[in-house]
Amino acid sequence: MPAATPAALPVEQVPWMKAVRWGLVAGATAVFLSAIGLVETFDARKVADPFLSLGYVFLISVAALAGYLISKRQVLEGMAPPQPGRHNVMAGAFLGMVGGVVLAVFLLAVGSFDVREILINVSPNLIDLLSLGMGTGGGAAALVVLGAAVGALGGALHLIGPRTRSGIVTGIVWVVVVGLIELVIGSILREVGLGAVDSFFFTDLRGLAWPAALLVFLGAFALDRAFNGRLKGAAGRFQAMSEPRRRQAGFIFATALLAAGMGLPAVFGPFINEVLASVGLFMLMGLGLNVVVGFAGLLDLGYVAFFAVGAYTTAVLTSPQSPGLSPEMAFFEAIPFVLLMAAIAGLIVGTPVIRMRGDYLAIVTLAFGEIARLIFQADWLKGAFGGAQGILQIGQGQIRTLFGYVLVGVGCVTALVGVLRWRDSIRMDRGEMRSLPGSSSKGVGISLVAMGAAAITAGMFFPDFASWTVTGIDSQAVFRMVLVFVGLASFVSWRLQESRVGRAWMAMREDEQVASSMGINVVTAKLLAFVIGAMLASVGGALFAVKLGTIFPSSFKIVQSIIILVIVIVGGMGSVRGVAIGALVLVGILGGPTQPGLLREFQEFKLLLYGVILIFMMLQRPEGLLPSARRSRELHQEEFLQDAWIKTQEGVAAEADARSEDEEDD
Amino acid sequence: MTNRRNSMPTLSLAADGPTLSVDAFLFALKVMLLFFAAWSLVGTVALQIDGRGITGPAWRDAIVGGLAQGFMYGLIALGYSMVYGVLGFINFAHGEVFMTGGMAAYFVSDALFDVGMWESAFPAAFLIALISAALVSTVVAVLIERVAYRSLRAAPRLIPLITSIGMSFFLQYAVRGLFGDGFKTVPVLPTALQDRVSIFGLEIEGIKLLVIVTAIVSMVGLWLFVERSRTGRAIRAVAEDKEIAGLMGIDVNRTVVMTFAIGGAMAGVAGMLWAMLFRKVYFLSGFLPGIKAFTAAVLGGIGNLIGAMLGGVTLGVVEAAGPTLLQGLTWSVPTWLAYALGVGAAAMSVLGLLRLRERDARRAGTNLGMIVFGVIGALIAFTKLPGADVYIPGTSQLKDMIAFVVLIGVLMIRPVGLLGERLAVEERG
Repeated sequence: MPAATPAALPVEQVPWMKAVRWGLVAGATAVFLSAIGLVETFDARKVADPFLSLGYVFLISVAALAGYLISKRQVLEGMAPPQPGRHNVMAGAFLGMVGGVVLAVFLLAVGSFDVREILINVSPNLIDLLSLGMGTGGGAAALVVLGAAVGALGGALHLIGPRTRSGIVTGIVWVVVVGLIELVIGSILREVGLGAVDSFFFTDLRGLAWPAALLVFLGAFALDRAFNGRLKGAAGRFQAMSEPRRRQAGFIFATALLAAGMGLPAVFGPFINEVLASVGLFMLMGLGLNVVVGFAGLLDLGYVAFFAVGAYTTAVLTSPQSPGLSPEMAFFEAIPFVLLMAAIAGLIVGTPVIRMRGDYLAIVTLAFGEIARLIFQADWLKGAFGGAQGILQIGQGQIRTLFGYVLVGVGCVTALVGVLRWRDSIRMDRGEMRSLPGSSSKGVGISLVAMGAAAITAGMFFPDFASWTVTGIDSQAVFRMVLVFVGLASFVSWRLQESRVGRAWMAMREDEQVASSMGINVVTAKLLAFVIGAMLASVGGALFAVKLGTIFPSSFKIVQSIIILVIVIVGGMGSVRGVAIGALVLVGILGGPTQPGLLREFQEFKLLLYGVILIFMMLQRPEGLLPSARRSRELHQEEFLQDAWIKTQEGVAAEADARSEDEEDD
Repeated sequence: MTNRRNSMPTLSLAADGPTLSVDAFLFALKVMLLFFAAWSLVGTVALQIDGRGITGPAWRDAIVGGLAQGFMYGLIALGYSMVYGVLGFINFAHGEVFMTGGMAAYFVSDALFDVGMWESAFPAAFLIALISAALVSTVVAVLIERVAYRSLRAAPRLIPLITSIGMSFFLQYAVRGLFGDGFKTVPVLPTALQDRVSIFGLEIEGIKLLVIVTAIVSMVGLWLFVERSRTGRAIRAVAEDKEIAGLMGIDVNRTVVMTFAIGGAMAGVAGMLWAMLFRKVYFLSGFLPGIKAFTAAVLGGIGNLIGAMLGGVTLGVVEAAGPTLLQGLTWSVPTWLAYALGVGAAAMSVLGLLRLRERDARRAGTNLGMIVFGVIGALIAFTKLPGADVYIPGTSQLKDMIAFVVLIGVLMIRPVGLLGERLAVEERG
């Protein structure tokens, strides 16, 4: 049968009503961003000094993004792709105009009336910014025109080829990014002696100078066009590699990362080390929550309680100023007790929630989190926990020399395991052994031996390492210690995921009743998840207590749990490297609830952003940024099934065609 | 060969070590909770009789205050209950819907105060502020549904829950960004409301009476609407089975929007009343009341509107009386009572032993718990309990904890709540 001819493509209409709606939303977003003070705060950071500041970039990107997205159509199987044309530009322009009108009305309103009592962040400075230096009336008109123009540009992005488009977008993104991380780049350049480059690129107003911006844009554009295809190809080849080789590569990468992490703090300044230490702590707790939420599927909103238990146990055991019990142990002597208390706390929280459904589980764990904070804060137990004043002088000068010996011991064991693995891989190659589960490959073996040797060397030959007096002031040492624990936690998480327990969790996560019918002990699995999660969080709490030197019950609010949840979800639930990336990106750039990140301007708005990020991720990509293939399949089941069905239909149709051709030939 | 196994049906649910311990431990927890609750209650009564309790007027104030707060919890709980009934997940952002209503109430009442209307024509001003608050909350609730929840109707239940957490966060910090993080003080109430009014022989503060009356009126209006009107019927139908309701010709989307709107309106009313009663609102005002209102909804039986109100009032009164009740623990247990309890514990032990012979695998853990903790309980009752008392300083700090403990307790002891769930207890499809 001849294939049906496609119908003549209709002339594309400009979607006027849709543009009005989108324009109103875009305008409202711009007004919102102005009213909360984002535009004004970010005006301090220039992206192409003196023309463009980050505040303006935010407003522009709202219009441009909306102008682009309004014409973006999802192309499904069998549909003809929409023809780009003038209508895209028109839609974008109209949308931009409407949005500009909204913003202009806002400007006129706040210019004429003093609304500072209600909207406290609408300052005269903001009004100046929005007026673009032309007075309220002129500014309003300019906003309408500019809005239309930017919207049109956004729509026009449809008219250029995808590669150029990608190049332009990459260029813009890189300009903004470089402008934002100017602090890091600047300090590295200065440390390395390239101060002249620093002052060329960046201005005193903390941003890029416009010649530099142009350079960065062109450079990024060129690089994108040259390498874009190749990067995707490399990713594809990586995925296509066989499992053992991927593991090998991952192992080597992790080792390299750890080594870099140990060495780099010397190069970074103290501020960056602080930020990285925070990142490390959140990574640690993220790994713990990843076990509870990602592996076992239990939404624990009161996770901060375990963090508090770890911190308070450490404080009570190591501080000479602990009000009640005061054994004044060394930090590493206290760690086993921390783990013990955490396990008990995990059991206390886990037991009542064993049979509760997902929503109730979340709220009850939230309740436990608040109960923990209230208990630590109460006057009732002031004799033990110090009440609202907290406990001071934690771990000051009390951390003694145990660590060097531990390091040597661990190093020996690691090296031994590495030798054994290497030997196994030789025997497998020779055919003497069947392939074993787990990573027995030469690369892994060599990595392990190398790590073991490094540990032994560090423990024996570097006296600083062996006599670690880590106080909160020494940011380098704190960061290194955090890094070691993060490495341990990652290893534990990784092994857990591959183990029987990990598989039991996976089954339980998908369908609890079926899992229990299959013989999995759901009770044990859940309790184990809580206990392990609690232990990881408590180690984080212990490090936190030592890093800060004092702890107050107000540090353990629910908002911490939610931040960690956002990290786990953004990175990818159940994915160890996802959590690492999530922590790095979110806490490193935006900052935690109390700690600032690299971008200081975000301080005021980061919690707002966290909320937005969470909503956005859940709506668009609930599996996170770096999910496992299984997780993607779980969450997009319908799409996967649909694709699979279409493929089978195509297969059937192809067969039918082939057969009918054969018949015709006869 | 006869298969002996067929003669006595064995349950396929194995009672293994961990399950047994967990069940036994849970049993012990429940018993302990009930024991301490009973002790505080009996102790409070005993102390009162002894003359060591708080005065009559203090009780009256506590209970009335608890009622007022409880009715507000009930209004907020209605929103939680309705959304859970219709969509099957907890709308975490509902507490923030309540908060926006409170903020709106502040702004409107402040404006009315500035033009003098607040004092000169208070009833009208009150109504205007009330309606504004309800309107703002309704709009916010409907927007939330449209933006965040509509596209997630078919998603696994964890996803909308996490989205609602994000939405709650976003609302809190959006309000903070727009209006600042300071406490907003609502204008002073007219003196008529600050004085005590005499009703049925009781002297109650005028404002608390207003709160209670407004809440009851709103609740009655809502109940009439849900029971009598078409939309109300539609809501109940969608709550029972969304797909079949759709097949029956009900516009499911519109019904869901109405659900959120009504819940939002009630929360807005509660926000207005809260602002009036406590005279302070800020961007985090919704967090604790939100959790407590959810506790109230669970206490009453989630999905059940009357239950939500009942749960709210109960929780409010328990919270208000809580610190006083906790003082009841200072009443030393008389020896005869301790011995009686000891005998009771021993009896429980024996009962557990007898039940163990039934070989009911599902109750094995509970039975084991009865035995073990019966013995332990008897030992404690006979040795440590006579004359024992517990002194907890700073009980008013622990007031918030009462709601949390109630939540955990209800979900452990009677998860369906006081009035039982209207919907199936098991997994909803």
